[in-house]
Amino acid sequence: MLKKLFFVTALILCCFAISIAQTSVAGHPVLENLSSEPGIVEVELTASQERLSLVPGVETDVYAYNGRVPGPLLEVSEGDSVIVHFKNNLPEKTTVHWHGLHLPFVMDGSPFHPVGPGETFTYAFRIHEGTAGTYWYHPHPHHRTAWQVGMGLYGGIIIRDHNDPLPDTLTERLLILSDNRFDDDGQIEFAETGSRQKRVDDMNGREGDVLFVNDEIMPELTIRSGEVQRWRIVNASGARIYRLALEGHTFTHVGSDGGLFEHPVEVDEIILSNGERAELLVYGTGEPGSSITLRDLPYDRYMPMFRPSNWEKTNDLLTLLYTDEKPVQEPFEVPETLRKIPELTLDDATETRIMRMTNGKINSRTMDMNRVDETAELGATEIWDIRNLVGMDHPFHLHGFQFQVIDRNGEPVSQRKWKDTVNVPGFESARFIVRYDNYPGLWMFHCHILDHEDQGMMGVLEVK
Amino acid sequence: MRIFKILVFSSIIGGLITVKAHAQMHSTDASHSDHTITILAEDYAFQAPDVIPQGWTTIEFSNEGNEDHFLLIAKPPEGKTFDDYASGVLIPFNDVWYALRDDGISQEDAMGKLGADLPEWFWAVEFIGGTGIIPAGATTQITLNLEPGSYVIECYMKNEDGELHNVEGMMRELTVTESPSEASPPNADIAITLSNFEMMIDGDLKPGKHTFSVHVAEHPEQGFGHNVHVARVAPDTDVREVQRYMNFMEIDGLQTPAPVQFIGGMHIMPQGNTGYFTAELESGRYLFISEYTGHLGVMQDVTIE
Repeated sequence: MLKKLFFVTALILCCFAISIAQTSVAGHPVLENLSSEPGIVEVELTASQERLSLVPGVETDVYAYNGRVPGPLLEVSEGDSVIVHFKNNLPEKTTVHWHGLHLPFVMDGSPFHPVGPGETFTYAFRIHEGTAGTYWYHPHPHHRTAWQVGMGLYGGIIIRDHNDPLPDTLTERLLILSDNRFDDDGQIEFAETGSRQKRVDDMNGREGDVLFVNDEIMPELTIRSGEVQRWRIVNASGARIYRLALEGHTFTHVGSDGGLFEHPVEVDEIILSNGERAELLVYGTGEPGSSITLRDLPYDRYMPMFRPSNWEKTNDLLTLLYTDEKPVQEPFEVPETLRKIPELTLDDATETRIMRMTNGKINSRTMDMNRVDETAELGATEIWDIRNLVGMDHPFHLHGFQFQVIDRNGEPVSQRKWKDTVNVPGFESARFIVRYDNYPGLWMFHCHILDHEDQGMMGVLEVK
Repeated sequence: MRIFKILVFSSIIGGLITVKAHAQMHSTDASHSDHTITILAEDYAFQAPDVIPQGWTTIEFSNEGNEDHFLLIAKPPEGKTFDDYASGVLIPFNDVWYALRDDGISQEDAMGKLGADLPEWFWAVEFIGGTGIIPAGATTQITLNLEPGSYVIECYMKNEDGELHNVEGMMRELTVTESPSEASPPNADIAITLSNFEMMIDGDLKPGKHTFSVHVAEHPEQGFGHNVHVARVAPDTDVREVQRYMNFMEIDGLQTPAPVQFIGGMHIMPQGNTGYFTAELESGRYLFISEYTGHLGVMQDVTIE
């Protein structure tokens, strides 16, 4: 079984049927598991050009995974071995990057391993213990990520813990947030090279004025009064940072990129930058028959001279309808301790790497596929000092290894969390600690505003 | 509008004086009571302290980027913030620049547009000084007397794509507190005086490191005023080409790569102020040139032997 798993990196399947999602989890169709063996999740994933109705009443040319935008959910559990038979039916090269997962370099779907048009690649990796959480997958070809994600290539991943401290009786929802821009014909619009809009998109990242939650605009979800729901949220937008609030309600923030926190935190709102995820408990404190709105509040992430005129506009994302049922009488209480997160200690750190982020560059360099920017030893623990030297937010993402943020602007953070993306607002700084376990290779680090990544605001860490 | 009338006289070359500096003056004194901060320039941002004490401040300015950079310190008027400056001033400048670059409008029309688009409070912005242009890898020092307040530091050179460095991100807020420093100004061995429309250089310009004082005796009523950039030039360099390069409204003006090697200087200061900069000179020909008024005569063409 394992031999099969790890021997398939160059496997080319002669017959490639698109996997049809059979079941729905957290509101998403799930990639069908073709394996009947316990602990093996074997799925088929195809990227192709499709014509779908993203906006009601309009057919739009898109890129899609298995004919869907977003792509179907990959649902796995800790300890599983995952085999993804990927076929690229796009007219251009692509990759599938498993954002946040700890896996071998060749399986990371980074720009170093493009899959050409008409080619196949089998991604095979193991899901490590302690990594249960919410992740996502998206393409990562050099210079083309913003385009391909903008065209519709992204999907969610849920990794389950067999001993999840939160009961599976909670209604679970996966909310994949994205935005897009359409022309008068309903086609996805990208700014023309040389245009003023292109300049704005290059600086801000491309934002759209149509906001999607999964495959819908302003969907209606339901909750019962007194009920507690578990929401997993992914920011799959190329540039938009969300400041989420549910009117009249608080959230219990229980997890982020790398899974559950040690302790839940009560918050009025959360900020979710590009690539980040959040797990929230939503308490149905409203009256039966009432409704509330999940909102994206104004968030100023912009260079002042590129700030959109409507940046202070609040965007409505979805409606949460209370059913007419009587309130649930025994509401769920979240455990005070969700899990223990191993501490990466400063005393073990052997190096501090300073990353100076300017617009489009890291440490005054743009991405060069033939250059290694940083070199580290396998197993080493190191500190990364991320300094944003300009006046707009830059979310910093490291491939392959989850890290723990230590402090922001010199102030210690409140609790340990596993992260793979940390947003650093303008002129601010953040430090994180990371250990390079298990996997040598060439690992990308970059700004997760996808336009910035494509411009070359990215570098290579070689772990050997 | 009242601005830029001076700049439209781009063909005027007045008061161009070639001198061999005469001997005398003080020796360089680097031992003055010190209050030094470091500001690093890169493509396209500054690494700088956020808060510093008031008083005489020496700024060690290093260019760690790959392009030429300078440092200009601006003090928005009371009630106007860094954000106001970035959005209210940079946008009109950038729009005008795009109109010049992409739409081909004339410099005269560009000046008119700029005058119309800039907020009225722009005319109350004080430019406090800063460095002249320095190339990648170079370091220079300036010393200025900074009063408490909120300042903006910026560089408005252009990159190879023709984008302004400040718009790319090369601007930052610097707060000067009421807390005093004990520093005093350095002793200069070369004195430069800027006026309408000439540049006087007094001192023994010879090979070696010098501390220059720059005094603004007067500014023209219109335009941005005088400053000094020091450039090492070839014997056959056409001064008019350098003057043209100093005009940011020229398509390749203030754009990397520069046609000459700049070694620093002193950016615009208020009338009556004195600031200091250091520069190392070698034998050869140098231009001391004011960015906005060099073509009107505020420059010196110097041969150092």
